[in-house]
Amino acid sequence: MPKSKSPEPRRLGGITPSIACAICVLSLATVAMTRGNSAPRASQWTLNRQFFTPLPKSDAERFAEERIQRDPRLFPAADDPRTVAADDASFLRDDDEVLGFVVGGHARAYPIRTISYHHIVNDTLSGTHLTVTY
Amino acid sequence: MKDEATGSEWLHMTGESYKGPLTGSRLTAHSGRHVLWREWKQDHPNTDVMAPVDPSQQFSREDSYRGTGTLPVEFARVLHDTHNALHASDLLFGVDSGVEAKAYPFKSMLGHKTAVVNDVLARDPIVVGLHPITRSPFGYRRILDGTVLSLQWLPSGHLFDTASGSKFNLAGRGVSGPHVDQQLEPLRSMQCEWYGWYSSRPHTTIWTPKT
Repeated sequence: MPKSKSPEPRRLGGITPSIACAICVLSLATVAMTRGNSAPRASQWTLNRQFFTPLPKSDAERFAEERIQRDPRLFPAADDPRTVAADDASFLRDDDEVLGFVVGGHARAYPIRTISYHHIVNDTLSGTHLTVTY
Repeated sequence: MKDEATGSEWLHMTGESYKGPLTGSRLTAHSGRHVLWREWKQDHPNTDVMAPVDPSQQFSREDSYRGTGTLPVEFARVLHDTHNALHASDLLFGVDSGVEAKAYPFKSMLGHKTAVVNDVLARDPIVVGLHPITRSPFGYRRILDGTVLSLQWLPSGHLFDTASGSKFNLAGRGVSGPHVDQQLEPLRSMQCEWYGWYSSRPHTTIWTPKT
């Protein structure tokens, strides 16, 4: 779900932008290596090393790797996750989406960005065993 | 979902086991709310929140959480033929009474004059709505002390019962009037995409605004 809850769904693929960036970087790198007939100057090697720095992995790539490292048929559930008080949740922005539950007078929020990664959270709230899915 | 203790497999949309020794069992549903963090904090100042297991184990804000990219062709065709006014990934608020299921598409509610629907589901008076700015849905039984309420939207972001003069916040809590501090009963509901709701509740009805 979109963070800003815009009425129209956003369409961002995790892999396509990476491929596009890779193609762009390879093209630039090729230009840098073939320009001129003399041996490359130090500044050019520096430039090339910069181009060949591995790209950060996308969420989809990290997610796929983690699944394979465990059981490729299963998503990596989060069991009894650590919780923090609302004032200490610096990892959340005000417009981040959460799923919120109140059990036995105890309120707990589960950030969508986190539970959509694990899909399943096994937790205990006021002595009640909960499975939160997304 | 698969539980390691018994090896049973479960449908996450309904909590029903369809395979293994617990086939036919159903997990108890807890009503929650799908809202923005600032809304949840405002309604529940003492809340705690799940922290990421690892900073890498969460999606970035720029990534998509949508899941319609891999729908089987046949299912996509059934979806289209069933109700072609809805796209597979259209968001909706789904309510399941256990007897009847009904979908309230966001785009229909946003087109409604107040984004608040006083409705009846399986003979039970309910109110369903969508905050017009944050797009956070809500749903409650609209009965208190044996009286059926008729709730209207206030620009302050509250619900107002015209008969009693009571005002409720979107967490269903009475904040003023005769019903102050009383809690409307939350519905068994969820925010989801059309394809997910339809796949688990193919007999669902779909709310449309009265013209």
